[in-house]
Amino acid sequence: MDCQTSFSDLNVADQARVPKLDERLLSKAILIRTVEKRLLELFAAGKLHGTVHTCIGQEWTGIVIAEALREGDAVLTGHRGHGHYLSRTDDVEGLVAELMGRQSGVCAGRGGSQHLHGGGVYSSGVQGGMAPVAAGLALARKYERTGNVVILFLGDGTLGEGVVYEALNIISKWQLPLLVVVEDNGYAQSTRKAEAVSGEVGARATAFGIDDFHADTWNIEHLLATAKACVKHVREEGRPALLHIETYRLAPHSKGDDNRDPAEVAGFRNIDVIERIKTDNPRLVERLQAVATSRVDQAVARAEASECAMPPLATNSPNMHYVRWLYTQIISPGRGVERIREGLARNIASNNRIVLLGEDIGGDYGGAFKVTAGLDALFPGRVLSTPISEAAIIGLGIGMALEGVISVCEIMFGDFLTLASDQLINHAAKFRYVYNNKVRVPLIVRTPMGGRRGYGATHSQSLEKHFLGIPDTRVLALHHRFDPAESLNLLFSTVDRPTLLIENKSIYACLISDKVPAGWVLEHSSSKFPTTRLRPLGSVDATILCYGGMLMHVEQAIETLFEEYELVCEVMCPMQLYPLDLAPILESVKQTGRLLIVEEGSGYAGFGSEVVAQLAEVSPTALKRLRRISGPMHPIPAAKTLEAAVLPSSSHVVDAVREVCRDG
Amino acid sequence: MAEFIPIQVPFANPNDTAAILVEWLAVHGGSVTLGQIVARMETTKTVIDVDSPATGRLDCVAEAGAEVPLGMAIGFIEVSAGAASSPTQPRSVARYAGFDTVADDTLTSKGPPGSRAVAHRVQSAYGDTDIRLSRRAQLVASHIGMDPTTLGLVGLVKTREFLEAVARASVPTEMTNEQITDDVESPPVS
Repeated sequence: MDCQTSFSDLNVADQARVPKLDERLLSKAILIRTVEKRLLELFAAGKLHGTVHTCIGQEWTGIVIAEALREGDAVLTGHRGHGHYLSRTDDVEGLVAELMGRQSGVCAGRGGSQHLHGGGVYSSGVQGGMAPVAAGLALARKYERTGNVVILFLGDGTLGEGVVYEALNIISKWQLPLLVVVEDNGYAQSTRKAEAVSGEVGARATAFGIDDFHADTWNIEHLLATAKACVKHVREEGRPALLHIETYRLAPHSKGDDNRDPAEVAGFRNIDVIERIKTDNPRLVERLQAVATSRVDQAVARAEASECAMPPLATNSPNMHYVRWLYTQIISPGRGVERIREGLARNIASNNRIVLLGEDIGGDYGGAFKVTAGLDALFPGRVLSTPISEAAIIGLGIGMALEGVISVCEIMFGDFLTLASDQLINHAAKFRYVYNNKVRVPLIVRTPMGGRRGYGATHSQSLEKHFLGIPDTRVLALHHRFDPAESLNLLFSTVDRPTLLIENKSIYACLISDKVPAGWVLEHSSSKFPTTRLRPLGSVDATILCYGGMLMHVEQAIETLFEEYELVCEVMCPMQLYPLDLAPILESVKQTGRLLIVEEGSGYAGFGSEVVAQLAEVSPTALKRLRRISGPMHPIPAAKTLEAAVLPSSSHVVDAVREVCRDG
Repeated sequence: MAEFIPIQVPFANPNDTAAILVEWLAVHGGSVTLGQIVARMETTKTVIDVDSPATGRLDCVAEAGAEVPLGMAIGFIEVSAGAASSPTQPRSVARYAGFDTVADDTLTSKGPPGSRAVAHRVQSAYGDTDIRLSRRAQLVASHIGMDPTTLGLVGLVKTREFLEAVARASVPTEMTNEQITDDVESPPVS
């Protein structure tokens, strides 16, 4: 059965009846409401920085679910998550201090109201964004066979987010132990549910083959029983369920932003469970209220007396250091695709907490570029082909990573990273920091980038620049002068943050070899993900900086430049694009004064721009001449001749170096 | 057998290290005569005319607008009976030094260019060495009949570096640049 929330629709008997409740549960509800009211008061007094979204009137949703949970279960929630957090943890002091920006806050002031983590609760402020993360946590629990479950709280307004449906599809298809609780308060901020949500809530679950349950916060005994039944169902059946709880928010969406009819709000206040019990037994409620008020008073006083959250001393200056150059041989030459596969296989074999996720990567197919071909047979259950759901793939990876599983997510074409960018930027990259180092997100996202295959505008881009500079992430670009298998060894042995691995499509078919053009020496810096250089044996005229697939074209160009124009170039090719190790590049530019930067993606506000800015900051006089070559400022065309004309190639590099060197 | 006489940038101004090739006054592949003005070059102080050092077919190496170090060849005069009759023959490094040329499509699927380049070196006229000469330097070496592997050079060698090495190897150290240039411009005929 499904309902549209409206006062007149409610069961009259429920409204009139005095609920029979365990005093313990009532005290929890009163405590949560007291905390929320105090937070609003603190905000009005200027003692809270930012915002709060209180759950006054909705306290029971978290309470009844928490009653059914056990150690090892997880709860994921969104912006209106205080009640869920308190229901699960009873950490009034940590929550109040967090919102007051104190070091003693549950996340030391880093997360604030919408980003809480403790006691198995994770909250985040992006609507629906936690859905695939919850699925990932549930997948990890399924692997571990602990019988633990995951709870995902969503609002009715969140039903407009597409990623929710990606997650619903996957949790049903893979039968994950996840209970989705739709907390239906009838409004998406100011918009009535009737204006924003079509169809019925429960029908969404049944459409995906998920069992649906329904309750409301006015018949509290039924709600408690249903919640327990739902969790038991998920735990014991090992399959997902959806619980639709109708409720009502008695306070504004945030602080004072309430455009609802006051009569409607008053009507719901009259049937509020706490109010009804208060009318029936005022002494009981007053006693419990006194206890709650005392505790909240103490929590506020303690927070006010404690240290404000302060950042550690830090500098944004590029890390300059002495560069040591090493010569290493590529022991096992092979095509790029083979070396990546070898790197994956070797690490999966040696670490049972590595899982591959992606579209079409399993079975005989082995991914669109065959990188994972054969791995499914070698490692059954560790190579998971997913539905076409890029955001959910990354979200699953994040959830697994939070449980210590290194997820390697393949996005079939780098162009599709845009579909998953919310998961990368707002979730994967944020959790470690906003949860105050209580979690790590060892996530690897592999994706092919680049053109020259005639795939056209949506399958040929080099979009990595859009993912450079996201704090707490790493971006690596494979190239043919450093064994990708070795790159993966380095990555798996040290992955401590979300890492985007760029595989230019031209790498796949290229021979990975250390046989550089005659006259140049191949060396690598000693950093973890080294910068590779082709050091010319001779007087150097210019520095060429490139990465990934462009290195092949640059190598061809430096031979032409030397043979035909007697211009000798040193080539610098960093594997790690972000954070950037500027020192090797600066070392070369100081020597030559002339720099050409080559990137296949569009150059505006791109990788090259950042390098030049850093060079100018660190050594303003080092750079005398500069040119940048990049992809076109229009979509990449499909026709071979058009594509060849607009993508940077060796002839562009030759022309640009000659220009850079022209006036000495 | 054809001979190749380099047209070198004159050492006109001792303060300069290079000069700009303003324009070619003769056509690439066309016939020129000894003493004919074939190019015009600009130093920091003046524009100078460059004479053809021989009669034969003009092979333009540098392009107009290029800055060319002093002593480097901007072109060659091919002196042979058939030179003037085949002015459209394309220039190729291979015909001088026995080098294979790098095809433009080596990037597509055959592996990185480096693997081919190493092979070039092995197959070069100079054997398996650690020296690699620019195209111009190869032309000069071929022209003067000097084996560059005997000069103590390593790595990437430009024309000027090659000529300086030749000068060091064959003349007393007190010789001037002009003398070195004169010496190179009048090479022994092989």
